[in-house]
Formats: sequence, structure tokens, C-alpha cells
Amino acid sequence: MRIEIKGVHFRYFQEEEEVLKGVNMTIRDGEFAALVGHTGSGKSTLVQTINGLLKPTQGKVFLDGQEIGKDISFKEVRRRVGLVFQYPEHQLFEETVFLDIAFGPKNLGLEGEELKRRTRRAMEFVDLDYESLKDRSPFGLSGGQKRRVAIAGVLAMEPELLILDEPIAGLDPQSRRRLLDQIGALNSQHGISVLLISHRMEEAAVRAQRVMVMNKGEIVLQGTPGRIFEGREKLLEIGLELPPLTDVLWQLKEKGYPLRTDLFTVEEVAREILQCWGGFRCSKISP
Amino acid sequence: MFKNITIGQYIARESTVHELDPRMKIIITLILIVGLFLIGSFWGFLFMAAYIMFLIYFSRLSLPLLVRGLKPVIFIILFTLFIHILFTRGGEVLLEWRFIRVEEGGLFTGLFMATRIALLILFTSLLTLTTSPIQLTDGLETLMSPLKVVKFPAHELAMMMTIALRFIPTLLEEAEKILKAQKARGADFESGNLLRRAQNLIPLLVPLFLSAFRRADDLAAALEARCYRGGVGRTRMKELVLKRSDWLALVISLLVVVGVILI
Ligand SMILES: Nc1ncnc2c1ncn2[C@@H]1O[C@H](COP(=O)(O)OP(=O)(O)O)[C@@H](O)[C@H]1O
Ligand SMILES: [Mg+2]
Repeated sequence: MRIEIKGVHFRYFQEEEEVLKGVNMTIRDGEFAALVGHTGSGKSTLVQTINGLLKPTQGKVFLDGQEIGKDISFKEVRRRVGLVFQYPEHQLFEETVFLDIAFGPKNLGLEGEELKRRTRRAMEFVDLDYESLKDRSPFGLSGGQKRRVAIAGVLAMEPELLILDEPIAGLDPQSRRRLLDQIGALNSQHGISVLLISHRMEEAAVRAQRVMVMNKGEIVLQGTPGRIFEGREKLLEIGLELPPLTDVLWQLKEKGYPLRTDLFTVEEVAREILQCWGGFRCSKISP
Repeated sequence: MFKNITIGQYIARESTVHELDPRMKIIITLILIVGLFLIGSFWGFLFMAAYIMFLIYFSRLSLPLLVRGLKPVIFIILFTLFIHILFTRGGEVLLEWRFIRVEEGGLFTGLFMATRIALLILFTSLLTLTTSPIQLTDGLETLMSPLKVVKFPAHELAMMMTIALRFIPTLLEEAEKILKAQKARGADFESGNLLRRAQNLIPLLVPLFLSAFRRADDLAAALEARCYRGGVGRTRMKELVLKRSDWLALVISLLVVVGVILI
């Protein structure tokens, strides 16, 4: 499934400045994309226009070429595009984990075995044990578990595209890594397209195939993570920082070492520095 | 959708109305409300409406902003209007069709009641829009403090009211967020009969209550961390002092109220 956002404008109040100022953006079938931007840049607002929770004041959103709200109903879009809000655990309400996760599919009219199957599968996706957790109260779980229950609640609707708004905010480092790994697996193993929203480069970029950078209601940069990091000046200007490791490469480069600056994983960066160090590239100007 | 509710919000401006003493503003609002219930004539309501326009003008708030605050109660206003029109009897028969019978008395009572409610909301919104919660509590507390003699918890009550007012906008914002999140999961808040709709509210209400409790807990902890222990022995940074303008506002309002009642 492919989402195209064309020239979308939005404002919350007539008298206030526009929050979205003509956004053009595409989410391609099967990709893992990231939307990065400073807090208040309009990321959350933008994704809500995709499934009709907010109606653009101008511009259109297309799902596989069909205009949403016109050729295709919001209900249908909400089924196919799963939106996980920021702090999704705040929307839990049922007595048991099972019932809460089943809420979405039930609204789609599912029941019986199919409902069970979907709930179980959604829980497996986010690494929650079905048997031991299904009858527990969601409110008695740990923070990380609650969040995964909430995400499972959206996954149980079996969306083709999953949008996660700052999914790891407020979690401890271990839960963060785990959750990001699971999201990565959803994309690579189960073929669900993912749009990950974050205000921090290092969280988003490391896993995404494509990064879109938003500033003050506009998409200002987009491309592969490596390409994005080449635009360091621009990123700093709009208040975003490079992932720490990429920043190290930049700083070394500024000192005169001929290093690449489009890398961001530990392995890549280490290899680049070691190669340079051991080979003739860096020795020429070694300190 | 929830952003329209102006009750409980405060909008800071530099205006004559904003600068009035909160105690006086509360008293004036009470007098005006009493006045509203004693008015019995068309002209009385017209003058009262004119008076609130005058007050809004001097508060430098926009009229549309206040009028928007009426939206959430529009149902109650219309309901009152129609019930009176259809069922209150008296005077000439204006319209008769099958079982529907509208009489003059009903029409007027309906219009009066509807205007009364609308003006009531406008006056109270004007009070909270022009008075910061802190001032409002200070005002309430001083006004109620004589009752402390009979063990009336004036300070505690005032504190509770400020907190409640303070959290109305926050909770509405929260409600909107939860509403959207549940809609994204396919929840339907708009269709079905009344019972069905009430049931459908559970996914909204449970998280909302939880969030309110969470906030209450946090607030209690924050208050305790700052050694809050009730009103005993607390002093004020800003003592309330009545100025000439306060008395002037009182006199004008009293004159208006007496005027509209006698008209
Ligand atoms: N429900 C809302 N009502 C009014 N203004 C809002 C609302 N949500 C966000 N805004 C405003 O819109 C702007 C963009 O917010 P948002 O889309 O949440 O940005 P981000 O997700 O990138 O942090 C901000 O200035 C914010 O204050
Ligand atoms: Mg956001």
C-alpha cells in the first residue's frame, strides 16, 4: 500500500498560524520510513490527516491512488492504516489484556476464533506471552508491557501500514531497544510498512530505509539516513542533532581526517575509523 | 471539538475588568445572576444583554470568543425553549395543530428562560475569563472566611475549586486525545441509540478517569513536597485592596440590576 500526501495544509484555529504548510510526502509499499522533526514541528498533526482524524484545510491524501474521505472511507483507511499515538498505554481501558487488544478487531466486526487468532498473533508480534498475560489486568503490567499491549491493540487490526508516534518515549533503554527491534521485525519479517515518528535522529535513522525531516510544518529534507546526515548544517539549524557516532565522524573530519560521514551504526563507524587508522588514508595526517 | 469550552479558562489582558478586585467581581456576578432571575420583561433582558456587551467591551475580550462558550450548552438552551413553548400554558393560543398547542405564555416563558441561561453562562464565563484562578480563589476565600467561625472549611473549599477549574482545560485536552486514539482503533462514538452510545463511551471514560487520578496523585505529591498543609497561618504575596473603580463597578451594576427589575 502506498500513501501519498499532496499539498496538505492544516491549522487548528482560524486565527493562528498554519501547523502544516503544504506538506508533500509519500510512504511506499513495504518500506520502513522515519519522520523526524523538532517537537512542535507538526509530525503528530500530519499523521492524523492520513486516517481522517483531522481533515486538511487544503490538499489531499491518497491511499493507492484513491482519495481518502472521497473514493475510500475513513473507516476503511483506519482499518488499513494503524496509528499508535504517543503514550498509547494511556488509552487502555479493558479489564483484561485480551479484551483490550480485541477492542479494535471487534470494532471491525470480528468474533470467535478469528478474534482469538488475531489477538494471539498481535501479542506474539510484540513478544507478549499469550497464555500468561491474556487474563491479566492491563493496569497491573510494567510500563514497557503496557505500551506493547497498546501497540498490539493496533496490530490486531492487521494494518498494512503501521504509524508509531514517538513509540519509545518514556521507556527505559532496554525496553526501547527491544521495542525498536520488534518494530523492525514487523517490517522485515511480516512485511508491514512502518512510519516511525521521532524527534531524535539516532532513534529513527538507525533502522529506517528513508528519513523525512520536518520543520515548522514543512518537509525540509528527505532521503536515505546517510544522505540526510550529509546535511549536518541544515539539521543543526533546525535544532536536530546527528546520531552521536555520526557526529564523531564529523568532528574527526573537521580535524582533517578523510572519513565518510554517512555512517551511523557502531560496526560501520568502527570499521571506517579502523580502516582509516590502519591504512594509508589517515597516517598521512596523523597527529 | 472540546476547545470551544470557555468556562474555567482565563485569558490575560490589561483591561478595566481584569483589574477589578476579585471579591468585587464575584459579588457583582452574584448580584447580576440574582438580577437575571428577577427580570420579568422583554426590555429588562435587552438592557441586561446590553450591559454584558458593555462589560465585554471593557474587558477587551472578543465577543465571538464568549459566544463560542455557549456552544456546549446550546442543547440545554434549546431544550428549555421548546419544552416551554410546547407545554407551558397561558394567554392567547398562537398555534394549534393536532396535539401541538402553542400559547403566548409558553412562548414568552421559553424565550425568557433561554435568554436567562445564555446570559448566566456569559456572566460566569466573563468572571473566569477575566480573573486568574489564583485571584478567584483568593476572592472566594476572603468572601467565605467569616464562615470559618462555624468551622466552615473556606480555604480548603476555595483550593478545591481552583484546582477543579485549573484542570478543566487539561482534562478536555486529554479527552480529545483519548477520543482520537480510540477512533483510530475503529471505535464509534457517533451512531447507535442512546444506550449503545453510553456504552461506547466506556473506552473514553475509563482512561480519562485514570488520567485524572494520576494527575491528582502527582499534584498531591507536589503540594506536599512544598509543605502545603492547608490555609492556617498562610500569608499572601498580594493583599487584596478595594479601589475606587471597584466601588464604582458595584454601584453601576446595582443600578443596572435595580433598573432591569423595575422596568
Ligand atoms: N489538539 C491541538 N489543538 C491545538 N493546537 C495543537 C493541537 N495539537 C498540536 N497543536 C499545535 O500544533 C503544533 C504542532 O504540534 P504537533 O503536531 O503535536 O507537533 P509534533 O508532533 O511534531 O511535536 C504545535 O504548535 C502545537 O501547539
Ligand atoms: Mg508529537
